[in-house]
Amino acid sequence: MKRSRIHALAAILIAGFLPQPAGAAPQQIDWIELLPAEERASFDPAPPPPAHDYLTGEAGGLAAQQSLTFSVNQELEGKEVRIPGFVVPLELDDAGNVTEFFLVPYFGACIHVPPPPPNQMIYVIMKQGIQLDSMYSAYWITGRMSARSRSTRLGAAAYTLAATAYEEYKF
Amino acid sequence: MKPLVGLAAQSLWNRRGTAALTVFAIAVSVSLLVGVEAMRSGARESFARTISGTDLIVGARSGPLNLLLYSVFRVGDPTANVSWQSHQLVSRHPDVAWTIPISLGDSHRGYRVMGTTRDYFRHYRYGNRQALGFAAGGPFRDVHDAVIGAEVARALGYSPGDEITITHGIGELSFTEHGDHPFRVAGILVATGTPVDRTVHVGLDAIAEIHEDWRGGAHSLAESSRHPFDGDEPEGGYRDALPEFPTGITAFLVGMRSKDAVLQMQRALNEFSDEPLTAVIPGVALQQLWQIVGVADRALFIVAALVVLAGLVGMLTSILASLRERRREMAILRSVGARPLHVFALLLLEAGLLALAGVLAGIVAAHAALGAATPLLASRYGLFMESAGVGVYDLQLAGAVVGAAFIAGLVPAWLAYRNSLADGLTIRT
Repeated sequence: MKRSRIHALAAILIAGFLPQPAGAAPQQIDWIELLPAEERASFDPAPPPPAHDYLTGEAGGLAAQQSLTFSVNQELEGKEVRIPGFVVPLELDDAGNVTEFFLVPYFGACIHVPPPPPNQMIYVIMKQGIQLDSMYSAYWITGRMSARSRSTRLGAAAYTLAATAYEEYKF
Repeated sequence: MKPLVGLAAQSLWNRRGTAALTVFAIAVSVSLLVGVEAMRSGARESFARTISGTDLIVGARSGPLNLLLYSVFRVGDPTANVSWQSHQLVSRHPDVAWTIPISLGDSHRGYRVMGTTRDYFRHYRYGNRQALGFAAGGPFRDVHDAVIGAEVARALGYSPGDEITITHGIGELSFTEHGDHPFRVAGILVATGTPVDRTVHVGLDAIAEIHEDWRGGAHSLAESSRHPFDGDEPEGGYRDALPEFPTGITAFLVGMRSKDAVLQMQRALNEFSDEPLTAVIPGVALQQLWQIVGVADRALFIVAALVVLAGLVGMLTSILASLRERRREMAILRSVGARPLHVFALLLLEAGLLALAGVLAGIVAAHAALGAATPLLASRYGLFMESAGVGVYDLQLAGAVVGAAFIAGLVPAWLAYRNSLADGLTIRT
C-alpha cells in the first residue's frame, strides 16, 4: 500500500509536468450520454422479468427477454472517453489487479437491485488492471468506447471499453 | 573515513553485549515489518491466482466469502448441499457454457477429496487462465479412479496405478474409513501453486457410491446392505443398488457463454424460489475478502512500523547512556590526534552500523521464518506463498531504517562533539 501511494504520487507529479498531447484529450461523458439523444427525456427502464423465468425459461422467459429492447448512442462508437463509475470485478491477474470488470453508475449493482439496463453499464477490459483498494470507491476510466448493437440477453452490457488509464474519483 | 568505520566497529565490539541487544531489538522490529508486507502481498497473490475464468460459484444459501472459501480454497466447511436438479437447470441454460459440480466432505490422509466430473480438467482455470495439465496419467475413466494434485503425489509418493483409501470426514484421521472402496490413482496433475495441488479428485459417481450404505450417518454393517462388490450380488443386480445421480453436490462453478449475462444469472440464482442458493462472482468475493483483510494488515503495518521506531529509540538510548562512560575513550582518541569532527562521525557511524546489522539480521530472519512457515500456511489456510526472496521492498525498507538511524545518531554525535570540544584531554566529572 505504501509503494502504490509513492507510485501514484510520482505519476501525478510527472504527468503534471509533461505537455498534454493536443487533440487526443478524451471526451468526458456522463452516464446519460450513453442513451441516444432522443430517449434521454423519457428514459424509464422496464423492470426485468422475474428471476425464476430467466432460469427455467417458463412463461416464455427467455423469449420475452430478447424482445426487451435497448438502444445505444451510436455517436460514442470509437470515441476516446473518460467516464466515472463503480467497478464490479470479473477477472483478476496474478497480482490481484482487476483486468475485466463491469463499470456501473451506482454501487450495489451486483446484489441489491436488478442489474442496470444494458445501455447503462459498460464492459471494460484493461490490460494492466486496476489495483482496486475498495469496491466502494468510484473511478474515472479512460479508453476507447465501442457501441456495437449486439443481440444480448438482459444484464448484458451494450458498451465495451478498452481502458488505458484509471484514476480514483474524488468526491 | 575507512579507519573511522573500523574504529566504530571495534568500539562496538568492545561493548558487544549491549550492542548485540540493540541489534536484536532492531532485527525483531524489521523482521516484523518485512513479514507483514510479505504476508500481505503473498496472500493476495495466492488468492488471486487460484481461480480464473469462472464466472459464478453457486452453493447453498450462505455468505459470498464463506462460499468462495470452502468451494475454492477448501477452507472452512460447507453449509448445506445443492440439489442436483438445480445444477441440471443451470447447466442446461442457453447462456451457460459449462458447469463443474463439486462435492466435498471426505479426505485422504489429511488431503481433501473432491468429487467432480471430467469437465473439471477441461474447464477449470487458475492464474492467468491457465488450464490444468497432467504430469502423469490422465483423467478418471472408471468409478474407482482418482486424480491427485502434485503435492499429494510428492508428499505421499504416489504414482499412477497405486491404490488409495478414502476417509470419511475431513480430519487428518478418522475412525471410519471407506476401506471397502479402494481407489486407483489414474493421473497426477501438474503443480499449480493453488489448493488443487493438495486435492484428491474422484468422480461424483464414486462419492455417491461410497456413501451408499451411509444413510444412517454411519456405515451400515447389516448383511443386506453390504456393498455389492464385497459379497453376493443384491437382488436385481448391483447397478440397481447404486444411485443413478448424486442427490446433492456441495457447489458448482459456472462459465457463461458471454460475460454479458453474468449479472443476470447471478441475480436469477440468488432469487431462485425453488431452492435457496447463493451465487457469487469470484472477482467480487475476492475483493470483499481484501477489504476485510486490508483493515487488519493496515493495522499490523502501523504496529510493525511503531515497533521499528521503538527499536531505534532503544538504540538511541543505549548510545546516549554510554556517552558519559566513554568520555575517556573520546579523550584518548583526541590525544592520538582525532579532531572533534572525527568524534562526531564516529558516533554517527556507530548508529548506522547498529541499524545496518539489525536490518540485515531482521530481513534474513523474516525470510527464513516465511520459508519455514510456507508448508504450514499451505496446509492450514490454503495459502501458497511463493517466496520471492529479498525484494525491492526489503531494500527500500533497509534504506529507510538505516537512514532514520543516521538521523537519530545525530543527537549523540552532536553531544559527543560538544563534550570533546569542552573536555579536551581533561575530564571534569
